[in-house]
Amino acid sequence: MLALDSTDVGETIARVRAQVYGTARIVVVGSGSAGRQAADGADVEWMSSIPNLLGSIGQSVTHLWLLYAGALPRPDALETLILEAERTDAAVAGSKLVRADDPERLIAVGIATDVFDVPYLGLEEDEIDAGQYDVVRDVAAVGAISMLIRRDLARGVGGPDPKMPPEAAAIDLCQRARLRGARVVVVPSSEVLFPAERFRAESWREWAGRIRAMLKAYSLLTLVWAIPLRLLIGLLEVVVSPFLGRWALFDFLRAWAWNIWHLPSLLRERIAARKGKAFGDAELFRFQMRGSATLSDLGSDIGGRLRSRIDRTEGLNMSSIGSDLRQPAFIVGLLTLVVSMLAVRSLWSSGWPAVGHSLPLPDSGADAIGAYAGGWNPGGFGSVEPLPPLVGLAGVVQWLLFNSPQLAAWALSLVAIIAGIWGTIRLTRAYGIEVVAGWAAGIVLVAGPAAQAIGDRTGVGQLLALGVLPWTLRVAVTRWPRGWFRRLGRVMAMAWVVGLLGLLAPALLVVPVAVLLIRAILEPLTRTSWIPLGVGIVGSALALPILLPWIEVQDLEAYVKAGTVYWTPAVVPLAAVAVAFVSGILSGAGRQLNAILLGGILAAAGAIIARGDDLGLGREAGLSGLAIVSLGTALIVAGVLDSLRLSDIHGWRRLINGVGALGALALLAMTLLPLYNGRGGLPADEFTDPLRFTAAAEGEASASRILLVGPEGTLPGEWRVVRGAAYRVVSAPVPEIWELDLPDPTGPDVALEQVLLDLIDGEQTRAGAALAEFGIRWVVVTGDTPLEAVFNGQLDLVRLGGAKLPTFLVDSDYPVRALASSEEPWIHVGTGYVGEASSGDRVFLAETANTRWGPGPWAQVAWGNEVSAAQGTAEFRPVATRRNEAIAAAGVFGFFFLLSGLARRRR
Amino acid sequence: MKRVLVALLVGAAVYASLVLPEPDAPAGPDFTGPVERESAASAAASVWYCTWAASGALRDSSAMIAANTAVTASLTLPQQIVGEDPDTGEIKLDTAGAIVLDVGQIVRRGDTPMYVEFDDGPAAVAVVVETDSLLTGDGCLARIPKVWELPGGTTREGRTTTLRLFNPFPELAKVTVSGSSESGQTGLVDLQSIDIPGRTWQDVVLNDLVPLLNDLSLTVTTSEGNVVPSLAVAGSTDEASWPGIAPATYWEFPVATSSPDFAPTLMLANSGTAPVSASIDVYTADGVTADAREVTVDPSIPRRVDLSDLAEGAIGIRVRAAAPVSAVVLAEESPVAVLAEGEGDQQSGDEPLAGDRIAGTIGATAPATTWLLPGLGGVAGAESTVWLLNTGSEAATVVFQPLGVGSLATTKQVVAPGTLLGVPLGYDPAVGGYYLEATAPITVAWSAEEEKGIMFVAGTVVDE
Repeated sequence: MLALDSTDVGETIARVRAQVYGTARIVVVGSGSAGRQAADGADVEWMSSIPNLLGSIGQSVTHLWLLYAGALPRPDALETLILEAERTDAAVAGSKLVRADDPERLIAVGIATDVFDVPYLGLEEDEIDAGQYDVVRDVAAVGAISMLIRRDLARGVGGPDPKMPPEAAAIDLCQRARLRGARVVVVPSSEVLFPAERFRAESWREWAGRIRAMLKAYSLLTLVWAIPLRLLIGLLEVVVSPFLGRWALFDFLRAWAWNIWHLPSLLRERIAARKGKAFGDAELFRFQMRGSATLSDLGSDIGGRLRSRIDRTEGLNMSSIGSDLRQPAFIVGLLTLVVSMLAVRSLWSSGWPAVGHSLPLPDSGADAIGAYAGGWNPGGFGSVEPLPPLVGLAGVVQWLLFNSPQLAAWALSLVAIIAGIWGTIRLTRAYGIEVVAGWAAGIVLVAGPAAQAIGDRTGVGQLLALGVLPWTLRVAVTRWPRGWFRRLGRVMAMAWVVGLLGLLAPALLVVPVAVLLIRAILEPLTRTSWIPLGVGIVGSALALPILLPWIEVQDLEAYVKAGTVYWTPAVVPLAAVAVAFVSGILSGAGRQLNAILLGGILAAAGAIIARGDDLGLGREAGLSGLAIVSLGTALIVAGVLDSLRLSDIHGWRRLINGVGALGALALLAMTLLPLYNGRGGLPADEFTDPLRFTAAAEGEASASRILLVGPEGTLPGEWRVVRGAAYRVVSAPVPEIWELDLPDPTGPDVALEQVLLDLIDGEQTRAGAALAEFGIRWVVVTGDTPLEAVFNGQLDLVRLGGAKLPTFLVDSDYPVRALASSEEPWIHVGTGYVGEASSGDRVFLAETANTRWGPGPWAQVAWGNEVSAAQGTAEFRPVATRRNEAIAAAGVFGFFFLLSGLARRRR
Repeated sequence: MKRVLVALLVGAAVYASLVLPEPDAPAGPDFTGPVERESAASAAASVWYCTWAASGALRDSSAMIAANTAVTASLTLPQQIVGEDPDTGEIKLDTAGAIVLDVGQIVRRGDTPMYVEFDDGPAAVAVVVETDSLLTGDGCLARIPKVWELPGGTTREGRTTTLRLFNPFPELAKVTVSGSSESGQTGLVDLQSIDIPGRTWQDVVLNDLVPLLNDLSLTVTTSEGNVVPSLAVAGSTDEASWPGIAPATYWEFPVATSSPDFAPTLMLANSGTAPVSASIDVYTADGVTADAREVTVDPSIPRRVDLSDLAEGAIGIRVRAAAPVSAVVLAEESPVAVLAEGEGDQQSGDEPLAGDRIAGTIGATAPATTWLLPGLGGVAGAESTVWLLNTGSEAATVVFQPLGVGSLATTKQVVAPGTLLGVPLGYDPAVGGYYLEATAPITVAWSAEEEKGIMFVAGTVVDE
């Protein structure tokens, strides 16, 4: 008897003693001293663990009947188990479980699982037992509530895994038994009554146990696809669960973390489980359901909720919808999910488009992390300048998502939109604004005119940051908790959320404090204004280390001033916002009015920043201004729409309020349409298709570079200028996000500029040979530029017919960015190079000269590097201090995250 | 109160944002394309395109390379078969010098237009083509305009005019050739759209297309890519060749004829839309005859100006036009009679006389003080003469620096204002060209003459 606690031990023992098939010994196992006392009270043995029990069983015992404390077997339950097990030659047999309070209703008749060892009972809720399952049959597993197992098998497989929770342990035990050729059956004629509420206790431990069971049982070949799929399904569950009233993120993280932590014991158990196996994975698959039980459950839950809406006797009238919508629940959640999925649908297959300051993620998330953490900045000809934190963050997400650039981009954009809408709903709740208005405001936040302007200007980081921005305020303004630990957790939460905001868009780091300050000034006499400001200040200060090493190395003034943004809003949306604000300020009342006032100030201040080129503000600042405008607009919309339900607005104020609501709704309508471009608000891809031809060229495209020339703004990311004409160098076949920003000019930049000047001056007619020095193989013209005419009359540049953009090919042995002394080209992989190892050879790397390139001996050749070709790789040795800082930043983030999570869960 | 304050604040902020000025649009490029090089030698790397060259069983060509500094000259001789790798050669001059390179040392396969790349300058190239019965050549070009003018052609009996379109670049060139003759626009239908594949050339014998035209001036326009054209007019034995030019309002020809044995002719063409008046000054060793002839060049009708009656002996000329015209000079030992209107079908029967030597060259658009003359003095068996034309008002002292494989002594000559000075220079195997520096701007050309033929070569200006 497995005594998880001492409850009901006595009654279960009495039922065992009443069995018509006698038992040799009754032993209570586990539950420490309570279990021991319960055993003593019932006058039976007690043992601390199953392994001890197995060790104590003699040869005379043929079977072991595992029963949970609280299980109430019918008198013939054991007998039928024994008889049917022997008749069917099964080594493991389980009972039918029925509800203790209503034995006519089924709990489980055996357990099916999916390939991820997630159990699936296949029963309707409260399904009546009419004998419909009363046939002995093979099942994937039986529950340990009543499980008969042959003694020799139990000893052979080592019994249940003590690290696992009960349900997962039972599934694991059955799987291991089946691998050894044992048959697992359910015997419905053996009935056991059990409290239904204790049957399934979903917890992160069960999640973790299922993962462990999967990792123990399957072959490596199966795990190669099963693990990624399990991760993906788990992530989906994390995203969807909140809309079903559950919160799965922490369970998901803890389950995987637990398994990583217990990896050594897992490996030992895996070796033991697969040693002496008689069958392969196919035998396990035979008894598993197709598809995913998790997804089925999610589908059932969603379907059930839909049905409950449709089946309601009162029908779908406005009041019932309103009733639903006034709760942060299903309809709004579903709408949000649908809108978000539609908004990012194209990113699933193609990732972020290559246009403006949006470029695809690199092939490897680990490389991106490495480059951010003190590695080589591959922009232009490379440098040691720090990459933006977004590269590192996206790298982490990509690494978690099986290194898929598309999946990572899709997930980031999707989560950002959902989080933005959800965060706005939660933020506006602080103003007493109910969910419908909050939802509309959320839509305006992530896709309103200002958000569209960010998207048009390809501010990927700012678009993602819109998903975090409302949370930074929500965390601060939530009621100040009692108890120092929860208060500490609140500050920690503020720190990591602001840190996340900074990682996505560093210039937004100061915004939460600024907004909280304005909020406090607007409501100076309430205690709830100044505490959030304090939380914001402390949290934001604590968030700064999260931006290491970037924040330490970056010239922040230059960062804020670089580039240009000047927002010219369209007249109609601007008028809609103005109407909403003016009517809101005239007719609003209560906390809704405070939201409108704060929104108006934010929108106006953001507009100044977004048009502040003349003030010396650059691209990052301008885009941050747009994000502030978006937040302000959302608050205005929320306040104005929610004022409609206020009963203390009468007469002319009601009329004005109605006009304002029309303005807000018009804005909402204008907002929804652009969402459906499917790219998360970003413009269409402009470079992938025109540059795709490079991948089909002879040799490895990634071994060479592309020189892009065209008008400013048609080039990806930043550009350089020669005599007023813009150009930049990118990697083939398509540049990636870590190349967006160009470092300060280095040796190769100066040399390339001189080549271009010579070409313009007509002093050089072999552009191909000159560009080949830099590994440039193609020149692609992105728009009207006099440089096209310059490249037209060159002796060794061939214009490619059929290219989507005017393109010139260097007419020589294909130029590469890394060439060994044996004349063998090396391929560009990540931020390094790979080629044929040759102990005596050297390899020239057309990257900015830096002594950290290796393996040594390193030598500077012209503006480039020459390193040994002995190892077949050439890599940049990371800057140790920056790498350590990045690790520390991740640690700080994780610490804040976990601490805030623990504090939040503590009641 | 709070509403009012916030409303005022927001209003002020909105106003402030509205008055913030839009950033200035980027200035944009301050150039429209590559700086078009003049065919002048400068202190920089350069490429020279030599269209009329041949080296085979019948003809020999020499690349006359001269430089006033140490250079490496890379010669590339494309194949006429598309896609075939070109033949190449390389020559190094360790110091300022000149060299006469027999193209046959690189390849012998008949016609071999080529281009020569110098890694430094000033440097220039000329090409001389010889057979047993002809001597021709001219300077090569470094400039490639999109529209070329080639006056001086003729398809009358006894003369054969060939147009060569050389595309030294890797990409296809789309070319349109239009012509004008004494009858106006000439329908060169077959030449309206010619594709010249990259790194190849095409010869067009114009007599086959438009026979029996006294004067033929061509305009070559490239819509895609680039070509370097040249025109060759052949007599019964000798031939003259010159490259395409761009129209100009001012031309100086230091040599229109080198002796009374050769009748000089100036060919003018006007590709504009209105008639252009031009005055011709004639220079001899004795002085200048200003405005010796006033002519009007009608659009699309080339103007032939016979200069033989203006002076005896060697002459140089200056052409000043009211609008850009293109011009070349021809000197013929036995001029073929110009057909009168309606004579075309009667086959005039004027056979070229024995000794049908012919030369032609392009002029210079401005005088200069420094000149590079690749090949001068280096044509074996020929009497070479350098022609110095001083159209200015002050005397010019000219220092002759022979260029060869060693150190050679300089000489000086003085050119009086308004005069033409011819300085004979015998063949010297140690010399491959000359570098001339004058105290006042002059124009320079040279001629080479032997029994089998005569040729005029325009000098190359050195950028200062």
